[in-house]
Amino acid sequence: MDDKQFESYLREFEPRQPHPLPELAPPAPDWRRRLLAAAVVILAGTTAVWFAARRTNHVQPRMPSVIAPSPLAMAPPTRPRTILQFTRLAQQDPRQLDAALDAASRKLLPEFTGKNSTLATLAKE
Amino acid sequence: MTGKQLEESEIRSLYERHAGALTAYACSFRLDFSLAQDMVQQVFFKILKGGASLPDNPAGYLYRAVRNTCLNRRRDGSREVPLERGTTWLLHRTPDHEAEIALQSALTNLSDEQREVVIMHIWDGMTLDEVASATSTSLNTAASRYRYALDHLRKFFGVEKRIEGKGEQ
Repeated sequence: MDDKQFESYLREFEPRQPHPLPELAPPAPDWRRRLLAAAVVILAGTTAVWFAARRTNHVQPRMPSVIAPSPLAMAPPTRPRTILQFTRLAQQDPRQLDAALDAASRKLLPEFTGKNSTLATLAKE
Repeated sequence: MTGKQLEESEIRSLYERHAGALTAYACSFRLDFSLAQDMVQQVFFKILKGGASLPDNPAGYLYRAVRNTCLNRRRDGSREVPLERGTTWLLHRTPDHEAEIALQSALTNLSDEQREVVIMHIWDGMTLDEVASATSTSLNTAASRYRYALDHLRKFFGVEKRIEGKGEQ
């Protein structure tokens, strides 16, 4: 058998065909693009917050950092305000009782000395 | 490597043309068919993903790439199968399973260079000129390897006996 005959015999064999080449999965987004997009979003957010804070500072006066206490709270804690406290004061220090009653009466009783006080109004009538 | 990037359709055309012979070539490294198929597809995926540029004559690159991939895999020793129990990767048109196994066995006994030339020329339809170009050898060297390969195959394969035996039946 010469080479040609042998070749033709070999060509009676055929390679088994493999499966077709599968489709490629779509490429994943580049991580650098994602990083850049995240940086842009963060920068934009920070800038917006900074501008908003700046505008607020210009328009409104700065709020006092400490809230002023109410007049009631400023009253000396020793000054009596209830019947029970006046009773105790009378028992413990009777000399202070008059001063405490005077101070309390200034707030509790109507004003008599003012121009528009109740007494002045009644006197006109 | 200097070369050109191919379009996906061109790469798929290359696969359609060469995949059968390349898979047979990969199987001749004693890998089972499904693994050999994976090896070949792995090479093409790498090209598809732009991981490799091809020279003007891509067949040589493809054979080299498949050879290297198979040798690396075979070095791991995984899924190497004896030919008798492995699936056939060269199919006779009659079919003749005994002849298929005998030919596969004969091919694996050739040297790498001779086996490469035979598969390229007989089953990949390349001319000896193209084989020489793909294997970076001269035409004389390619032709010489081919001639020796046929002689060895005749001996290993016992083709005279086989064909004479068929004629007597």
